[in-house]
Amino acid sequence: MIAGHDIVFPAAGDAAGLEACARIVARKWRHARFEDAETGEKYFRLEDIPFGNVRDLLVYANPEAEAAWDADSPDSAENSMLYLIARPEDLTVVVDNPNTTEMHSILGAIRGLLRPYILRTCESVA
Amino acid sequence: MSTITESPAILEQLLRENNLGWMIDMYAPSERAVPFLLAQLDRLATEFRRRFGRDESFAPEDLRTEADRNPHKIRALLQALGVSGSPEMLLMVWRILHGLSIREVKMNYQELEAFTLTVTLAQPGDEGDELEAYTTSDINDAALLRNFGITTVDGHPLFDGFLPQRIK
Repeated sequence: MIAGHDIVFPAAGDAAGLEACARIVARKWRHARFEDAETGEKYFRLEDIPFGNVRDLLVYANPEAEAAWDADSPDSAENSMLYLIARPEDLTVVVDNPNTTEMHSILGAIRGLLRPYILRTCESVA
Repeated sequence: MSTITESPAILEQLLRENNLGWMIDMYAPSERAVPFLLAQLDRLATEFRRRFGRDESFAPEDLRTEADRNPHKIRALLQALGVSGSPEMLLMVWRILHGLSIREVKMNYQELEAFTLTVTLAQPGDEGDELEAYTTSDINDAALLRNFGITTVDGHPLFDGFLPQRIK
């Protein structure tokens, strides 16, 4: 079970922001698998995800991690899955342990990519 | 299908939904805007076919379908359409929107003399050896860089994605 450290980015949690986060994670996890946390729908590839219809996205590090999580295995490795949550007022990354080199790298890159969204200077489009 | 046929109303609706109605209203004469943009999309389809030897539809009906799945991608493409008249650079945008990595950007500018911009893309990952280079000499295309996602990874520079700008 994910321990649940919520890293909240005060950026509009729209489809573009969610995909930006997912792209960064997929860059680190080359064999990542994806799942719509609300519907349970699975996606093998980033480009298969209909970001306009997804708000809560699970990203597994690889198929083995996905299988372990699906089996609710107690052996699921730490930080083998990230939970991305897009809400109108923010984007949240839920992570087991944010204090690892890999998570520092991922979260730092996400923060940079979302900077224009955080420092937006005009009203956002719907 | 790659030929743009009868879809001006859908294209206008897409533009207005994405706060890009100015692309129609400020065009002179405004009634020529949509036909002009449809022709641009047709040139984009032609460029896709020339490069990849297969068809990809940029018909407004298909853009509408994609907008239902990924509204931000269509918004970003339409923003690019308002910036660039180059089918090659619009194809570069489309390829980034479909997941390609931005492997290299080279820009050369000499005041009142020269401008070139080359963006090289590749499939993400180390296996992405097949490079796609897109070049323009139109300085207006430099505005496309505003949509590049900008960040760092472990202190190293990264352009990633083509994000819609938040305009109203």
